[in-house]
Amino acid sequence: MSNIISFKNVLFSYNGEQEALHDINLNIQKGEFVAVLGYNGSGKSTLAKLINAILLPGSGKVLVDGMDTNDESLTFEIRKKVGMVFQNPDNQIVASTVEEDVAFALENLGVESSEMRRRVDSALETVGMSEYCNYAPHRLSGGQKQRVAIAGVLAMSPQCIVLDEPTAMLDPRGRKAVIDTALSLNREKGITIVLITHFMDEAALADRVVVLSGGRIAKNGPPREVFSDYDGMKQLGLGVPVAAELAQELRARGINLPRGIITPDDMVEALSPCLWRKPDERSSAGGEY
Amino acid sequence: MSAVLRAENISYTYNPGIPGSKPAVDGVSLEIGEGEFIAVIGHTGSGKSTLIQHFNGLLRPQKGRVLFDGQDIWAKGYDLRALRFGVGLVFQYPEYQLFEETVYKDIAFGPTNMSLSEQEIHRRVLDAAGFVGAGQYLDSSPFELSGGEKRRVAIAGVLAMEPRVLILDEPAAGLDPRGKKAAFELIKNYHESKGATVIVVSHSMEDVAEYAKRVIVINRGQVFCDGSVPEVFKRARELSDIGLSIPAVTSILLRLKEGCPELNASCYDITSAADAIAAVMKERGAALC
Repeated sequence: MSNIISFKNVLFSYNGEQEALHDINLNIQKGEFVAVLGYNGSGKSTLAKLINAILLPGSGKVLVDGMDTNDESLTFEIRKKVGMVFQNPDNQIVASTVEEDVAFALENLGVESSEMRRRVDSALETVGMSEYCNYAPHRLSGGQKQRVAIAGVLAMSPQCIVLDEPTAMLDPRGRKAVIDTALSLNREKGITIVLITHFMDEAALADRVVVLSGGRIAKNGPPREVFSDYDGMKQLGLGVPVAAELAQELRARGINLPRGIITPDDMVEALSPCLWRKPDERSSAGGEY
Repeated sequence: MSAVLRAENISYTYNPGIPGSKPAVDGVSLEIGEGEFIAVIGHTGSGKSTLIQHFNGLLRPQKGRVLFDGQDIWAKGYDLRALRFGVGLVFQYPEYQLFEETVYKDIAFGPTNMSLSEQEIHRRVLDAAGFVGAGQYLDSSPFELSGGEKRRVAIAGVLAMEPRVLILDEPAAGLDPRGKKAAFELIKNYHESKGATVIVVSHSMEDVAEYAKRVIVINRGQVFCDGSVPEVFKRARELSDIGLSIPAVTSILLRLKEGCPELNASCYDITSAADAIAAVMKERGAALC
């Protein structure tokens, strides 16, 4: 599979002294769902902004579908390929109705009106917000606003969406709706997702987890592998998903569990064979063992 | 326990003249006891933030009364300054309100307005800085700090006023796991060492379960339920109906309990959940899965 995003020896510094990112090499393939973790100040948002040329590398290269972000003549094309959604929904909604907001970028691009209608309707439908198309954005909940922001990006038909802590300000229902939306865009539409988050349980749903620490890549692998290193993740100032934390506590109590338990499903699957059978049933069903 | 704050049937509607505007707070009566640690939960738009802004007189109820130490804060001749020094409110993302040249000056801003002696202001700044672990960078610019540090310095600015009631609106939103823990630990320390009343608005059911003693659930501007952590979280289904959730570890226990009725699923933190599972496993004599 080909790379949609590729960092080659990227260095970045905001003030010329301290480097926010040191020598980053990272490839993200088309269609991947990658979660980026790291403590505050580890370089996550810097990484995100380098992807669609909001920031340019101090040295090294960032390629988006083969296009070098350093080449200013390509910036526009790059931003069409990679959309961004930020943390605070109130900072990224500009229009007075939901559908106008979603159409904002298309209007700027001069997209023809029937095409605009089609794209706006389809984007709102994808994020499950069609029935709110004439609502004023301020009447929506945080999770709904974030889905409108995602629809605005979707209307541009991007190949990749970078979400920078999109759920930090949301309630549990809003958080779930945004993550489910990101997952379905990835699984059903094949859109590459880069999700920056502090929620380990969200990262557990990704194909791959990249952990940044002090501007360097500290870990890069499938969630099962990354979250199996409980001590390592704690040392990096992070945690593990709730199910992995519970597995760790159970192992400390002498209960042998397989490695790589990171989701509630994993935990139920691992424990139900011994919990879901009463001792008397077990002896009568002994033949199965 | 005597009530330090009391809301008597308060209602508040934004833009009351406009057709279709609904009350954000609708007939709420609450009693907040001196020294309590309370979590307020509710989905985005449920009226939580509107409610807490009544507690230090930022909003004036259109109906009902708010009493601080038994006195109606909107009665003629009541000194609202006494209320504002007694009830400290930390907004969402308080680091956006940092403005001074140094951390010291920023923390000193509140107590300076209280017409205290130089000596007392100095003591309070050092004390508050100690609580948040900012002692070593008092002379730095607050803008040079990391996200988690800025947040804690901003909280210190309110602690330096030594409020008897500390209200925080999502104090850990957007912080990494370590920063989040540090923020909650400092709130807990302030609560314990000063005997202060704490009210925290949070979307994290895990943090609510770990730190609060009492939980107030707000829905559609009304008190949906009000009780201890177990009393509230045992209503899992109703909470989910109003867009909330229970701690993730409790959901895992409830799923396991389906096939194992003797499992105690009334656990809201990882340690007690692991104990509950281990207890059943031990009884079964099943150390290995």
